[in-house]
Amino acid sequence: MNFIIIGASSGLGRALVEELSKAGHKLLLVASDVRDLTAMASDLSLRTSGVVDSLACHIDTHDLWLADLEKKIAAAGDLDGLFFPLGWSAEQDQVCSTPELAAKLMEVNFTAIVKIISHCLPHFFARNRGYIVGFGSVASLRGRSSNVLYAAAKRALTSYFESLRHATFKTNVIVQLYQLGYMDTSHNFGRKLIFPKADPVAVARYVVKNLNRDFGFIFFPRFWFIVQYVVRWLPWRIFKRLNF
Amino acid sequence: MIFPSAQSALTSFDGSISLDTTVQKPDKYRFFDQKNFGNMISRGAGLSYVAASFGLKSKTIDHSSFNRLLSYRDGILEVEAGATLGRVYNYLRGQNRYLPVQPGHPDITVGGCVAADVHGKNQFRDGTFVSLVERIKLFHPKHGIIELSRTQNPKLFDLTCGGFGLTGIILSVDLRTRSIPSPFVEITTIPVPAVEDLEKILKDIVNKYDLVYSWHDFTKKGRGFGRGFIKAAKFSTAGQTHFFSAEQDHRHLKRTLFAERRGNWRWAFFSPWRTVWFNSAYYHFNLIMPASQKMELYDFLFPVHNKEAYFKFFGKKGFHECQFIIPTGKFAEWAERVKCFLSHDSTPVTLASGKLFAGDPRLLRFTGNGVCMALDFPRSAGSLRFVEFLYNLAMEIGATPNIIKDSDLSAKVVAATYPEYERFKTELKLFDSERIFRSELSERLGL
Repeated sequence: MNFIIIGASSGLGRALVEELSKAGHKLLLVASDVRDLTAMASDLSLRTSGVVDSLACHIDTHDLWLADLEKKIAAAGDLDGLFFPLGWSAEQDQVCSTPELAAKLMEVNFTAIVKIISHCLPHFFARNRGYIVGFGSVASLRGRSSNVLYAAAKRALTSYFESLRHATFKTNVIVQLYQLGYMDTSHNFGRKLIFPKADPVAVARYVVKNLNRDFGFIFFPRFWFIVQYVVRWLPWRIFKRLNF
Repeated sequence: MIFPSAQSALTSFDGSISLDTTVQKPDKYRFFDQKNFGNMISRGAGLSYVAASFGLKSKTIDHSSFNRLLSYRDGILEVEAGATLGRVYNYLRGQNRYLPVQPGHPDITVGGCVAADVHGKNQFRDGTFVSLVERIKLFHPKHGIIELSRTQNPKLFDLTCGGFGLTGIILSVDLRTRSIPSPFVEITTIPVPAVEDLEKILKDIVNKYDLVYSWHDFTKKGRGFGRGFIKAAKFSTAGQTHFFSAEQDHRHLKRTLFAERRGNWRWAFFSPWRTVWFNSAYYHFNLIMPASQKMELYDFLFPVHNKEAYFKFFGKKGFHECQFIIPTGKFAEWAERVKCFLSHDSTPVTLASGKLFAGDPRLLRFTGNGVCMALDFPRSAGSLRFVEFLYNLAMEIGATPNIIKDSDLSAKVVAATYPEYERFKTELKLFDSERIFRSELSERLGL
């Protein structure tokens, strides 16, 4: 099958690419640095049976990359699925942000994803099948004084995926959103966190294994399903004093 | 983009050195676009016996995420430096090729093999790892990314192969591979009743086999001291139509060796009397086995894989590995002097293993003409006496110690045993006047 992975060069994206490639799928890898993409594409071409192409673009800057993406999709033939294992956060993401930071956070974590899905959805409708897999974050469960816009963008993404699933229920297009907990990626390297970090390879395997399930929305690792209740229902007088 | 740092307690594989150090683990090439790095040192799998990938004043750059295979053409494989030997082996076997020079565990990275210029099972015939290296891409903050080969920046190429990571971060390596005549090897066990005959026997057989090493019992007292056997292997001549199954694929890539977990067992198995029993059992076991056996090439190339417990048997205190190239014609004297020392010392030598070596000494590379002997023994209050004895003996008879195996080596011993020690220092300083890349090893040896 033909899959596009946006944010393919590190963490969960890299693990997903590995798993999908092992299964022999045809992949288009999208990430910002051509050096990382070239190395990944070469490695996968040598080691696996999957066919790999890549596109280097900065999805946060302007919309010109959409035209390049369209060209790649046309060249690859029928598109079967989209994966969005991307996210970007910044330490400066506080209640008061600069317009540039706010724009970048919203673009990478939400708007760019909407643009790509909007662009590709007609392909899926026309063929009456397809997979759209997004990745939210437990950071969006409840607003805090840090990661403000990141959490807002991820919550917007959750809402968008709910709408997407609603809009596609009469078709064979499968829409999945994974709400991910802490991941063992270079972004979290060395951070001491209150809950264990999930191995991206384990997450990727779960995602690929459950690709045909129409569950809509799921917490992963699964223990976050319990944790989210605690976070959501924690009384305000306690929650407001927490610093995490 | 910010790549987070973390404080981590890193340990040399022999358990002798443990330091709290700053570690960064980038996974994108953007990391190398930065300009201000400060002192640092590169780290692959972190399996060096010595503290070559960390130091008190250096940030450790863990580049294990850069582990991809980049290209393969005409027998030359280009890999990122963090690629492990297991990963390389798994790919190459599909091409019916292998690396003729490699150390005994698949988790070791190619970058580490270049930086330590390691040797394999038949150094006499195949040379050290540098003999496989065609080209290197090296990153240095002041010089950018530099391409090195025997014709392009040859001096820096020389300095980097066996340079312990002190010239920069190795990004990628082009390796010359060799075709595998068969995925199986036929191993012959040749008894060596008297260790002083080892040099002669090795010389007689080394050209008849593809891979050769010996094992000896240095805990046996009296006339039997150093009794042992040689394992000599040839590629099987019986035709094989298939290589390996997918299930084995998975087994090969699962990491099994970690320096930080080696000392998890507080209790050490290797006491003096238990080592005598262990060695005796191992000796007899090998001699009662059929003299000729067939084995997968993988198991022969990576004999330590799935035998990691051996290192855990040393417990939390760890072990010494003292390895020397004893010059041609001096082995019998060396063995006699060691026998004499051990006859009144209780140091339990858990492993004594020999290979024939050939080559001219160059910079700080572990090479030369003679017999290479490795001795393992537990760290204890008295073990340093034996180490000191071995160093003095080495200086006396002109033996060369292996820098990458021995955490106790001092600048004095290295200066006395490596004729090009000063040249290495001078050339390194000439290339990198600020000496950005530092480790515990480089500080200890005054590099």
